Amino acid sequence: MNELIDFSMMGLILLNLVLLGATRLIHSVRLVAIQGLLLGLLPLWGIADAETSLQVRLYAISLATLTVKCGLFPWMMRRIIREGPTHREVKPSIALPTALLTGIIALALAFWISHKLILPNPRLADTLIIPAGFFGIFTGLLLIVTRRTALSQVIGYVALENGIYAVGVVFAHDAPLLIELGILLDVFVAVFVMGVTVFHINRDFDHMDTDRMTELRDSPP
Amino acid sequence: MTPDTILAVFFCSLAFFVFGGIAALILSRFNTFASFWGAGVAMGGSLIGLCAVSAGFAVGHPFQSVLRIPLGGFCTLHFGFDPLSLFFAGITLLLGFVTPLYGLGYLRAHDDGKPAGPHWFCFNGLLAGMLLVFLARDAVGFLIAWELMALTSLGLVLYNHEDRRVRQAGWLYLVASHMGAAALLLFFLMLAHDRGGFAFSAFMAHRPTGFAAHANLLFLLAVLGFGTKAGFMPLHVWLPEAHPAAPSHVSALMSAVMIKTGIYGLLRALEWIGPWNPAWGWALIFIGLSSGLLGALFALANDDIKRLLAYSSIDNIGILTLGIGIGVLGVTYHIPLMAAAGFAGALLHLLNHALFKGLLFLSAGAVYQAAGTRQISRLGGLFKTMPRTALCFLVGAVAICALPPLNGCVGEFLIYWGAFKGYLSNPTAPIAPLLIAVIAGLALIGGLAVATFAKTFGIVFLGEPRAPLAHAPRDPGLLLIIPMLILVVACFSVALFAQRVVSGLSPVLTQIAAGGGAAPETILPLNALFRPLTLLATVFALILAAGLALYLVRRRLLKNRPVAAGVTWDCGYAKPTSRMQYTPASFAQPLLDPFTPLLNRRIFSRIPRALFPKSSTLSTGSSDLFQTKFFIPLVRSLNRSMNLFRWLQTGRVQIYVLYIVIALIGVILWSFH
Amino acid sequence: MNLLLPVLKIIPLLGALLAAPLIPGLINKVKAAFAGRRGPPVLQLYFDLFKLIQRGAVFSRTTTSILSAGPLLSLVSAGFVLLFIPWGPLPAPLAFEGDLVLVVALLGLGRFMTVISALDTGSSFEAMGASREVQFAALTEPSLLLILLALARMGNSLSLSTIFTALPPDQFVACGPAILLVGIGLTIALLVENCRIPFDDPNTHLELTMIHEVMVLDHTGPDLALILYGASLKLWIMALLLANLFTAWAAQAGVLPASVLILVALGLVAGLIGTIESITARLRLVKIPQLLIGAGACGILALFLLSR
Repeated sequence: MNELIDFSMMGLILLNLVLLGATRLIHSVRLVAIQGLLLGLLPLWGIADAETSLQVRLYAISLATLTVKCGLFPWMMRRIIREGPTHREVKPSIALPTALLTGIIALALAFWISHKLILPNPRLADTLIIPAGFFGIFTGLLLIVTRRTALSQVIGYVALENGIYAVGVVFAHDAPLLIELGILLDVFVAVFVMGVTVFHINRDFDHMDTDRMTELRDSPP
Repeated sequence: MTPDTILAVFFCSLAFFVFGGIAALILSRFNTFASFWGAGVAMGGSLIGLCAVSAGFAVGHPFQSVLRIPLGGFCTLHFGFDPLSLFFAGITLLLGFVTPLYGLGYLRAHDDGKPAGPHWFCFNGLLAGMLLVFLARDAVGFLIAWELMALTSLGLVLYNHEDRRVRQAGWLYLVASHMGAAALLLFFLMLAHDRGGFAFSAFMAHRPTGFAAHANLLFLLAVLGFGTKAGFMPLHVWLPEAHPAAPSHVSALMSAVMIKTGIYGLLRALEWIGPWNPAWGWALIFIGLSSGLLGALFALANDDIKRLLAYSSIDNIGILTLGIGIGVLGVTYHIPLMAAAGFAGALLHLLNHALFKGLLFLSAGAVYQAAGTRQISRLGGLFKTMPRTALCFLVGAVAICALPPLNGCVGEFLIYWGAFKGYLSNPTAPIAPLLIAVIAGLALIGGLAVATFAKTFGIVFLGEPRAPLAHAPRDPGLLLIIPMLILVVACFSVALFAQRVVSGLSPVLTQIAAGGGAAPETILPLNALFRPLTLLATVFALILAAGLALYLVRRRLLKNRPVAAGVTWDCGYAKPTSRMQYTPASFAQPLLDPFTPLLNRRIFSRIPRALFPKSSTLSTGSSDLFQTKFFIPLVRSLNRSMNLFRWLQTGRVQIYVLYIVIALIGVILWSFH
Repeated sequence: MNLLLPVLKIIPLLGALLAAPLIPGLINKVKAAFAGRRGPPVLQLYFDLFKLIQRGAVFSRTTTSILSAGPLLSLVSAGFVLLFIPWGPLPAPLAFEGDLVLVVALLGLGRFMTVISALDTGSSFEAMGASREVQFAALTEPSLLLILLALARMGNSLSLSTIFTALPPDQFVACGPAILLVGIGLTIALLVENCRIPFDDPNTHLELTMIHEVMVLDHTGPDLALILYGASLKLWIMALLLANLFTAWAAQAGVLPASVLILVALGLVAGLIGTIESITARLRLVKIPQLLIGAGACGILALFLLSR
């Protein structure tokens, strides 16, 4: 069973690396959707060991995750890409090779951190979940920092979410509440951030280029 | 009445203020009703509180009452009162009774559609905050009440917020009061750390018998924190901006009572810190002399009547601090008579100042409302059209110049008495030169005050109008006159019953003096003061009687004589105009000449150049010395140095997220250390 | 004797009220003697007062009731100061610790009322006099208080009545230099308070020299009588203080001898004022503050000498 987990986490890491190098928005959306699929199936691996009540919860969690991450998010984002005046490609502010290089460094960092962390659940600790989770977090942050359009930043946020979710799964058997809260946060993000903000950005500005949104800056005296 | 009942009555009064204020805010849609309601609850709450105060003073023996309110294990709030709180609460509530009545009439006359509900909410909140400051018995409650006071008074100052200068004044006030609060926070934290607890009882229980560890630092923090609120030089820069910007009844309340909360805090701090260091008396006297002299000078140099009164408040706080300083020196150098007179004079001056400064601000407000301008140089001859206001202002002016037969004379008499006695008891002591400076300084301050108020009264109310006014000024209605009359009667009563007032204050004085390390049973020899005070009161009464008698004699003399009206003797000038009268600047010029460097005076003139010049202008302005020479340059250099870090703020979301990531990674790496 | 004491204390008071107008008459006689004239009779002020009381009045239309309040209250304040001045060994009718300060405050009241009644007329002359008056007063009050502090130090008491009786002859001589300094300071204060040369010229009505005279330009009839009488009372008060100071060595001798000495001293003081008025000219306005501060310095120097 651990090998299955390891395979899916490996897939997660590779997907994140590809995400760093993706140039078209539709591709990024698809990559994030596949990530969601992998993560949705994650709670189910090891379900045989748990009690019945917990099993029900884990099934519910898995179903909810799959719906939101594989269904809701990709659908909304595809709709926005179709309807908005966005350019269909990503506009990074650092060159692609540099982004990939930074990704590799982040991967090394993630492995190092997981080596140093002391976890309560030794069973899952041997797997690749923690490094993959942290790498997902770093990838998400990297995407937010280096992408210019609002939509690509939202995709980076979703990747960040996925990474946090992966780390949270480790505690699923002890505190399923954490993951349920995480799903709630996902829904929240979906409704508010994407639905309201992006549409409003669309209406108030005729662009979604965050580089041009610098209202927060004080003008010099 | 037991002390617990009295405390309950105080809380009842607080409830009036709080709930009445909230109700005024909720009902602000019904504007007229909201103003009546807001003023009414303020007056009602003050009246209830005044009953509690008088019951408290009637109790007699040293008393204290404490109420604890635990806040969910986080901390406990203590409330209670003792003689010092009662005294200050009494002054606050007296003015809290008088000013809403005035405010009601004032705001209605000014009615320009502004909702009155929020204003009365803030007003009642201010009264509640001040009362809470006096009732608080632990540091947390004190600071909460302090902040409440600052914020509600800010709301009151910003009543005319559409004027840019009012907004600037409000901003300056906010910044200054929070800088003072920062010093206070440090003070309380240090004190709590030393004494092991936030409650005042903990402060007192663990008072050291010798000099405390950080006593000097604590005193400095107390002076900085409480002095900002009281208006010590050079922390006073917000006072001349904020007090004129507020509506007149608010200025009266702020000047008469709110700055006294700073003095309350200072007296409490002296009580807690422990045995007094004589250096503190020296420091207080220096502060008092500089505030008094500079305040009086700037008052004399100013043309705006409310700004002038604000500077005069700074001046009087200086005199008060002088009194406290003399008291402190009296206790630390073991001269009981000096201590008694100093503290009694300071407390009496506190009461007197509240009364006559309130009166002056209220009458100045009536003038502003009737004439539409605060510039004295455009007024004149208002006695004929507003006789009642003029007489009230005259009473206030005579009182503030410390002239008999009014109450200001008694307070300053006691302070002089203390200084004289202190000098005589040991003319070769190190404090002797200081006392000489105190006497000379007080006299100079008094002379400047006489000049200021003779100028103000004379130029505003007497002579001929110097500039045409927008509409004919009239005496204000009853709603504004009655509060002024109440204060006039109060001024006369304090003057005529001075001895009773001082003997009533003896528990307060004993409490203050006990804080200095004197044995708790030290009885200040207040009895020595009683004979002079009684005689003083007798002389005042006799002066009033003699004045009346002489007036009747003179009337009799003129009865059957020809009395004619004419013009003022003009030395044969063909066409004297009212513009040829003395202006306030010209009146004050001989006295201010030696002090020109301090006054920061600027002259704007357009010098006529043509052969037949048509018109020209000349105006002089005097801005606050500390504001222009100290604070503004300080703030500018701070700005310049902070501008070096401006590049950190790019306004782009990605960069901010990058900052977060860097910080996060840094924390992770550091935690694995 | 104890029953007689209150009655005795009133006598100098009544005497002052009656005899005060004599002092300006004496001063004028001395000035006339210096100028080689016969001068007006010594009782001239009495005749003037009598004449003025019988007259009607003319009031300017600009003025208000403040104009009439000024003379009233300045006379009342001057009269009340008399209640605190002792007559040699005889204490004042109302003496208490601290009456020094009240005396200065009462003089201040009179000055304040005079100044605002001057401003009442709306005339620049009177306002000019008023502004100069407050300038001098602001500088005189500290000096006067310092001189009174020196007096208090000498007599070790805060009441005027006990100060002058506390100096037996040998101590008087010992404090001689200090007494002289205090006397000089008091003389300067007298000249300023009563508007004599070198601070003000009571004879002319030119803008250059008017201070007190100009403030009363618009008062007529009984008001002017009250003002002149009050001014003479003030002169008597300060002259009496000087006389008390210089005859303090005879205070132990008894009431009657001391009274004679005081009367002689009063005459001498009047002569001194007349002499100063005749031989000096009015100072330039910028020099006057220096002289006033000099009076204060006299007080401080006396304090220093007494503490040695």
